[in-house]
Amino acid sequence: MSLHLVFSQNGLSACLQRRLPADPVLMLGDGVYACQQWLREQLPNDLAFVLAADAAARGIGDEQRGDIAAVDYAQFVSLTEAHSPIVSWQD
Amino acid sequence: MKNYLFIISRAPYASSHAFEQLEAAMVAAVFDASVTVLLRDEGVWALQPRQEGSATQQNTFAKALAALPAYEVEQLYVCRASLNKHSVSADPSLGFEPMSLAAQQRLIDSSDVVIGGQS
Amino acid sequence: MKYALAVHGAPYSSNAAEHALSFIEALQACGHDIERVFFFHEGVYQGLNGQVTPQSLHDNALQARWAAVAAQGIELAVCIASGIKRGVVDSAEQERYDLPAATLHTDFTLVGLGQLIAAIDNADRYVEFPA
Repeated sequence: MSLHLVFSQNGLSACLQRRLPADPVLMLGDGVYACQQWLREQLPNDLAFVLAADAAARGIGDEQRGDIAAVDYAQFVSLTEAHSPIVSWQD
Repeated sequence: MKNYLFIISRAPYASSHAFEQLEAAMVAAVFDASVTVLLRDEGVWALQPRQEGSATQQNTFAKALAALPAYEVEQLYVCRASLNKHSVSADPSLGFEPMSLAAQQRLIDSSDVVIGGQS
Repeated sequence: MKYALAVHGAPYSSNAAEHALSFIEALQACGHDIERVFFFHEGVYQGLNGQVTPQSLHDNALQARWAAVAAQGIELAVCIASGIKRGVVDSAEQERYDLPAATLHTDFTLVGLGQLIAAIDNADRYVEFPA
């Protein structure tokens, strides 16, 4: 099962069209801004993650990301252990 | 060897992304890897007919694409939705087969390695 | 697990190095091996010597962090095709093209694109960090 790394808002749009419904998505860099799109589209929150450091740097807090989990780099590593291929999206 | 999917998502002349991505795909093929190339989003402009890179002192991208079969890269796909979105009439001589989004989901899922190559 | 990594962004103008370095540090803490870090596209500028870290970013001197990675025997491989056209050259390429200076930092090495494919093929996972 694939893991998708989303680095921008347009990247999330491109990814959502091409991921299988059960694939998890980690939003990082400017991709953390895309968490609201994820919530608007009512996708399963347990499949979405934001990188905590990048969200904090950009002022994206609990209010913006709702139930989407913020993860640290160790959890990022765990996601990559459990999935292959790992696909980066930065449109 | 693993099977590789190279995705080109940028148009070919304003940045070197597409060219460098193609170089990597050709090298993987030289290593006898199974290589698939997918053009999506603005990458579909790579199939625009009548390109003439020499007009701006650049290589003609379509010529590089035309060389792929010589490297035994023969799994060539283009996102049908992106072609429609940008109203690109792909040059049929380049041999890229239009692919649905659902088929792209399966293609990504079945690849060992996906190289998005964006910079 | 063995990881192959690629960095596509230039220092201080993108998050690619910060993402890659923090990911590498976490990989090592988890006991994973790194087959090679490959610098492609604008990522080749990570290997340019003579970088001066802005004073305000002194705690994040990227080249010092890359040096710590190299010191553990992890290869920092700059794509030769992407590198030389952007002026990132080692002393061999400097001589070959009669250039004024070698510009590749000594912690990095210039290699062909085949080394990216070889690293990925030997690894269990490939992760790329775009610009």
